[in-house]
Amino acid sequence: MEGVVPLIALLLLVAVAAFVSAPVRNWLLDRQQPQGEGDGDGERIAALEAERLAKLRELADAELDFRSGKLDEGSYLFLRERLGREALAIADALAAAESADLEQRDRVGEEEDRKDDRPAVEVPLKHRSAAKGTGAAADAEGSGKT
Amino acid sequence: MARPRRQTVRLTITLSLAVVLACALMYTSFSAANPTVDPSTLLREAQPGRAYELTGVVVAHSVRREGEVLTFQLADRQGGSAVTVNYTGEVPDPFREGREVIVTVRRGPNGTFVGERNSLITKCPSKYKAAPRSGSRS
Amino acid sequence: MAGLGRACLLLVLGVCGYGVFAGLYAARFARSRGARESWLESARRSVYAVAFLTTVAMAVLEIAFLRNDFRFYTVATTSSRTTPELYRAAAIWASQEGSLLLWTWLLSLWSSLILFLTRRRLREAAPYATAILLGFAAFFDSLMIFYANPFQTLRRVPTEGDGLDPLLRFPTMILHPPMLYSGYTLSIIPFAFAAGALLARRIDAQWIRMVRRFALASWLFLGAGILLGARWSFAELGWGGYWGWDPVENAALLPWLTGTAFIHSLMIQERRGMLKVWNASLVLATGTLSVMGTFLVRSGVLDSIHAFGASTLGVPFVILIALMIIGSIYLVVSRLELLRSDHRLESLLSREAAFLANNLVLVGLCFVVFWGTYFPLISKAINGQQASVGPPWFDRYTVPLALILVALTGIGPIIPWRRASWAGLRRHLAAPAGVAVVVAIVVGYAGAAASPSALAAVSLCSFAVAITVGEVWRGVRVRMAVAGELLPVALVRLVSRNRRRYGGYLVHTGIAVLIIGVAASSSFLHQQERQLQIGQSIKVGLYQVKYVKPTAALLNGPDHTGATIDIGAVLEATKGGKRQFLLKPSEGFYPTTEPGQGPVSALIGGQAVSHVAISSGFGGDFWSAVEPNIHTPRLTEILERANRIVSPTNATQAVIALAVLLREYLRNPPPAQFNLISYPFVEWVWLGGLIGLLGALIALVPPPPPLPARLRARVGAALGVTAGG
Repeated sequence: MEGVVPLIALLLLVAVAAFVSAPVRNWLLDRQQPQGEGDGDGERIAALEAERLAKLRELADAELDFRSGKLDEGSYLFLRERLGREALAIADALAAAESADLEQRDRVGEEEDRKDDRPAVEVPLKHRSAAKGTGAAADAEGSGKT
Repeated sequence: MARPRRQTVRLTITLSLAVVLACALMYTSFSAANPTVDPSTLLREAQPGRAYELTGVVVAHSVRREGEVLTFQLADRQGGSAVTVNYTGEVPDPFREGREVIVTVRRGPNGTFVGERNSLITKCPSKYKAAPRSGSRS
Repeated sequence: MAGLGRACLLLVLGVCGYGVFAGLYAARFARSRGARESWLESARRSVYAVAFLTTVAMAVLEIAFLRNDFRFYTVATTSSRTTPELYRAAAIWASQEGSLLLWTWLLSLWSSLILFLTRRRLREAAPYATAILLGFAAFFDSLMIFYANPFQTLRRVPTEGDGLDPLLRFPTMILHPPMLYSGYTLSIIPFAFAAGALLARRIDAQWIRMVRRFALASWLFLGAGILLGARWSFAELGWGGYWGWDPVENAALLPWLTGTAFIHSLMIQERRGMLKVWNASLVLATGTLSVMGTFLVRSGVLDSIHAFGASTLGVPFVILIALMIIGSIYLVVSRLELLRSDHRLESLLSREAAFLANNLVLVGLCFVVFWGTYFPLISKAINGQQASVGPPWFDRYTVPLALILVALTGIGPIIPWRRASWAGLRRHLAAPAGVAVVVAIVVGYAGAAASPSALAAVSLCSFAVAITVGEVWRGVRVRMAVAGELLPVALVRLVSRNRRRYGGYLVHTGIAVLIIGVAASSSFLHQQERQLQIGQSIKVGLYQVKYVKPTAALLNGPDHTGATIDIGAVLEATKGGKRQFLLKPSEGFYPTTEPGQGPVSALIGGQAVSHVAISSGFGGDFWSAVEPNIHTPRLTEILERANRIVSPTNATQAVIALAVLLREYLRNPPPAQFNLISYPFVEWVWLGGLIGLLGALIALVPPPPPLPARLRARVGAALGVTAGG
């Protein structure tokens, strides 16, 4: 009974090692891009999104305060105008960042299409046609957008 | 500019106030604290009227209960001279001979010490690793 | 099987080592986005793997406990065949090594959950945060591998274990450590993300949003853990109190206080971009205090009943804590540019100022508790003489600070952001202040005037509750008018649409109720500790309590905790001649494995545990405990004879001898020592705590998917433009 323990331990070791290293192995073999959202600028977009939500909540709070009598009309209008301007500034920055991101994505997509045509590793036939497929789809998407 | 200066003034006032309060607190803690001693130190240095936190091991066969008062002797962990304590109040469940206890005491008559009411705490024995508190100091 | 557990621990160390490398590689050396993403995902998977492996280890240990496998040292020392099954299962965390495993397991579980939920966010801080979390896991895992091995085996397997310490055989014991450890581990996560964000030099709105949630979750569990600890102390230990300023109680309170301050001041950073340095320091301090709390319990460095006894764990912990402190200071100081405020405080009469004041009070409270708790070490370092301060010292400083805090919880919700006007404030504070004065008069007249601090507490708490109720009422009225909803619907919709705000109001209400309970129960309790004969009665508070008759049970005590014998009393409480309730406190006597006792004495010579009896009510509890005297000359004679006559291997004979002993006790019961306490309004403490936790839960649950379109349209319509994006 006790002899089976080292076997289980070994099994665990192999399973864990495989699971943990899978993303890196996949990336190294260039078989599959890991799921990612946006690119380097994705952080900035996420931050702006969060800022926008916070600003909208502030606006909603201010309105609730005014309606329930905590804030007098003058202060409320002043506050709303200021918050509204700040919200618009964030929205503009967000729009600019999003469109810049989209452009970058197209550019990256085009580069990847070019990479697919020159496989770095000898890819068996069935994989190559799959890759070509993605390449073709991306190509269509890319040309559709631009 | 008025604004930054106002800011600095506020910050300075707040910090100074905090520091003053903290110092007051720290100063009073020293006078309000009871020194922690073991039985041999207590016998040597105890001054009448002062309270001490006595830490020691309950000497075997020294525990007696007479009505409301529990009498027992405490000795150093390594053994040695023992101190007699007369204690009234809650006795925590783990209390027994051979266990280490903490009790606040003052000098009493005839070389004995009087335990402050409800100040007896028994430390967990090393065998029982996670005994929760069973004594109060109110 | 123990080998499997130990193998898991070793694997965990390996995985942590790899994960730390992967995280740091993703943060600093990965050259492309693809590389960074995959190394980060690999590091994240390391955390999942650690969670999996520690779960396997926990399962191995748990099964050993349930199967009474005494080859395991931990099982042999903290469990036995006679320990009831439920307590056997929970006995894992009764020992140093088992509780370390629990800590590591909870850390890995919570980290996995949170890393999974945030896997698409905070991409720059995440690699560092993941590495830091794995570092902590590696630390605790190393403690288990090198210092306190949960899977240590015994060469000579005993036939029976030592049994779970009877003092731990209570239901609350099962919940308290997991809750508390969840609170501790959940505050390591914001620590990691704060350090990570500082390392990555990116602290933005997204970070605020995420960390706020982590901090609230940690606050919730810490609060629940502390509340459970207090409840355990009150309902199940023999001293009749729920808070004694014991070092370990305090150690859990410290991160809770800084966490509370952080949750409030973070709102200021969110709105006004201020207090960034302060917030970073607070969140790093909370994590450090949590580790210090964990350390205190198991180092034996301070005299506390909670301590696991002196151990060799002190040194590694001190090194870790020193690293955390030095690292935190370095990070904050070197990133001061990044943490510069966007705005300044506009007016001392504003919610920002109120929150700042709240923060100062909370940090002040934290300082007081910290100083008092660590005073023995501080005084020894300063003048060589170890000394300690008692509860009166703590009360003297925490009570006024707590009262100021309650006043602030009242003012905070009322006062607008950025700048308030005196006129507006006066208008809104008038009614609640009036309520407070009325309450003060009524309660003072009813007898509370005897304790000014209690009177002030009740009055200020009513003020805070009145303001909260007013806020809710105003909000509901708006919905009823604008959306035409009925009251109940309006209330539910209001809370659900503004969970942060109204969840927060509920927490404030809960805290106010709790403080009323604390004030009333500590200032107006009546306690009697007396020896009573059968038929004798005594006055405790408003009740006349009589010792009616003794009780005795053999092997089947009322609490099913495995006590050999259970001796108690029936008490009758009357008020004005009319019977109010009966109480049946008792004391359980447990077996011992210590040598030198006779066969019968060994069955009852172990730990004696008080089984408290409480009569609860909304207006107050009556608490009772009994210490029966089983060492009368007659009973001692019976016991000694039994020890001589009974054969050591004959359990039935021993039990019969005990039955004889108990019969004698019931026939001629000696006077017993009673501890009786009348506790007004103590149930409000638990009630308030539960309300507060519920409020935190409401504030934590994410709102229904935001309606940006609707809001955007409203904003646009109001401003006459359409917001872009």
